[in-house]
Amino acid sequence: MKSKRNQRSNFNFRDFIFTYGFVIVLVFVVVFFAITANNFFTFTAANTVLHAAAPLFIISAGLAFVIMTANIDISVGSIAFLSSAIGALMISRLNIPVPIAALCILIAGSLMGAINGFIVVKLKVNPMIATLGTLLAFRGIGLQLTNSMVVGIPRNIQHFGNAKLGPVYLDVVISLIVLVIMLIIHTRTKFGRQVMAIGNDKSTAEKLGVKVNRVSFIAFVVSGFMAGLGSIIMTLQIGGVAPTSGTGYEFSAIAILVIGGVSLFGGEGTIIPGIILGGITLAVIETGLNYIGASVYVYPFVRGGIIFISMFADALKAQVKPRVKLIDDDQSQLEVCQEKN
Amino acid sequence: MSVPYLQMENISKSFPGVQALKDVTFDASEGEILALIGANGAGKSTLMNVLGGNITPDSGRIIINGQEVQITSPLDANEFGIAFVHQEMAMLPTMSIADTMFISNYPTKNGLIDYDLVTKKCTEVLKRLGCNYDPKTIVRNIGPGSQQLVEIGRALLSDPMIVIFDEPTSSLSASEKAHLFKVIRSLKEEGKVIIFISHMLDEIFDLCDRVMVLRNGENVGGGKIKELTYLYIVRLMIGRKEIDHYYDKQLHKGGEPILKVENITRRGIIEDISFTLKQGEVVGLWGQLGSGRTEVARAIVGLDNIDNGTIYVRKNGNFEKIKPLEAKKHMGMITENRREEGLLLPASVKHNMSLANLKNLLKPYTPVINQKLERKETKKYIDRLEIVVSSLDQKVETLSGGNQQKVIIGRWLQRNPNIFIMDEPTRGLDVGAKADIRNIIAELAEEGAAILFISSEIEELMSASDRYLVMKRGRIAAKMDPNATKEDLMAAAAGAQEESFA
Repeated sequence: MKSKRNQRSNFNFRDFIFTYGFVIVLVFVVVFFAITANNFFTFTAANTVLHAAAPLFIISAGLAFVIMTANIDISVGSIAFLSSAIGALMISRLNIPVPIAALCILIAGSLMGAINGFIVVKLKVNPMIATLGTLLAFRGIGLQLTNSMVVGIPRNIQHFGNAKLGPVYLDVVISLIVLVIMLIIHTRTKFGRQVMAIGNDKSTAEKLGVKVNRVSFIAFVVSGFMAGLGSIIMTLQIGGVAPTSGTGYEFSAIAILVIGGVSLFGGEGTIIPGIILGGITLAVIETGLNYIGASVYVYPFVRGGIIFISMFADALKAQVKPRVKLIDDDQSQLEVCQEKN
Repeated sequence: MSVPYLQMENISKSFPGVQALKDVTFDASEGEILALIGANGAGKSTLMNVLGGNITPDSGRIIINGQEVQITSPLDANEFGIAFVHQEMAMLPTMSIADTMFISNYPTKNGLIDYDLVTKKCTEVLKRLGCNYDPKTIVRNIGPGSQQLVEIGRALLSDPMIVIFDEPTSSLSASEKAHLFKVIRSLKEEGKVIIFISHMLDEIFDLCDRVMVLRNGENVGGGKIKELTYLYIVRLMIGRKEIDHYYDKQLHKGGEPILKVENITRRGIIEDISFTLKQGEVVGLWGQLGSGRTEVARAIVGLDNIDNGTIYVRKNGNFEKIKPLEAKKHMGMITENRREEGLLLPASVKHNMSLANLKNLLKPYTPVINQKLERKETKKYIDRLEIVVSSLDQKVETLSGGNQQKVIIGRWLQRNPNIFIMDEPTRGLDVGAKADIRNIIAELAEEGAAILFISSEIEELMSASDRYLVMKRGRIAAKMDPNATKEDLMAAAAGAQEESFA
């Protein structure tokens, strides 16, 4: 009887639906495109979808930590752009070796994350407004540095962006490895667990001895670092940096996370399978639209719709959750305990 | 055994304007449960915070196991084997039991959390508490009683010698409480020093060996619990004379029925609730926490949607069916958590009190509030309920719990409803304030109002109610007349036979 109970409390159908409701959507979307678009279900198609989504996977994985602390960072697209611009300029204008430039990209991303963290955690500015400010500022700096022009990187390194490891793109493999590392950080380190604790309730976490400010700050740095890492792949994929690089990444990343079950209210969600499911759902929808030859103007509309629906579902979830209450749950548990004594 | 394990001598502490502790001396021994009791603001928490290292006393000595110690931080306290089970549970709903216990002191191996060790320790401690939850169970999915055990489990992780329980029962149902007491007794048998803070006398008589009463920061007495009476302790606590009718009761005769509830159902929560309330009577709704008592109150007042059922209110002599959303027009509701659901804490007493009645305070034909009238009305009810305020503009958050509760009652009185639904109106109040609230309830009934009264304290419920409805698992399990005994009520609410909730 004991084990049966435990199974029941570990698997909650309602929780599952709320967390992975979008997987069901994904299934519908795939079925829809499979019927309407020819050759949708090919390996090449899947490979292309994942290839395109690789930088976003990485950026989302970093952003996840900020969102799980119930903060938000909407500057990740601009961080990616500015760090990418810095890297591309170093390589093309200053002839700095690629590995050093890559390192600088990561440092730049982390620094920008630290600036966000400082503004939100130390100066106590609302995270949405703070990162909206840095979103504009970082992009502004990047446009200034590049003169709003495309900066290309030499051909001999461009091919890394589309290199393949066997049948799959190299960057897909890299992003999966990064996700696994982030999964371990999220579930098996003190930092990852404390991020979740803060998202549950700041003051409770504080009471339990979690250094709330420090952990929240580090979450922003991680987000910036990962935006930098994502931007390396982005730069290689497009062979340089364009004035529009990284535009809209913040909302795609947020959509991926929310679709994947990461709550904007904090304290909830997973890196794997959450981000993979969310990322694939979003990518499939956009690629699918491409396949059926939808007008380009439909894309932003669809993406906006998806973001709205997923956030609405998230809000709904937050409203309904507290009412998920099992009247006799602890009662029978206690009876079990009492029988034992 | 000759020397008590813990001694605190001449502890004094003053905060600006208040002497919180005056020369408090007491001791506690191994294998003993010491009750620490006193009205709100008597200094119980301050004293325990001194022991827990959160507050440094101005003077006094703490001696543990024969050695004088300096406790300057919670970390020190931990080192000296002192653990604190706080009243407010610190739970992380979306995380596992193991995470909730270990969040700031995970054991690590190679930089990663050593979950094998965490699980092992967590299982051990849960087993000690007589619970066999899987440590991976998500906290959201367990009830408040089990959460309390997790809280205690966290305190026991450091294997303390002295365990302080700060009102651990305030959110527990009767059976959860019984289990908690069993746990505390087993800790006692292990030879721990246990300090148990509570408001509730019956708990102390049930559980504790010795009692110490604090009043205004002073140790005013106590002794072996077996040698003391309820009344004696109550006297010590409030130091007033007019308490002889604390557990007296005067029955009100019900008049005409004015509220009729038929077959109210909210699927999975409450089922088939039917009853009537008569003018001038107080009906006690009794049941364990989670039995659906609060949910019944919320459903009647229209705070939660109902799936089925009808509510009738008597208007001009006839019963009229009302829509759930109209219920608020006819009834005054006091919710169980006044700070979250009842009050606008940063707003003034005046604004809080006139909130439900703004419509009647308008200047004729305008949307403008007649401030003079508002003040006059507010003043009237402040006087009537004897609310202690410095001015009408005092912020509600600065009032004591009892006065806050009176502000809510005053708000509804302005509307002059004849039906009141009161969900735990005395929760967290001290003995004096509780008596005040009970008196107000009795007065309202005498003036002809019908009152549905919910309380977790059975003595209090019985002292105020004229008859009882007993709830069990979302249903009304029994209706009882004034002759019912405490045992009758407990038995009906606990229910001998197992019934599945269809």
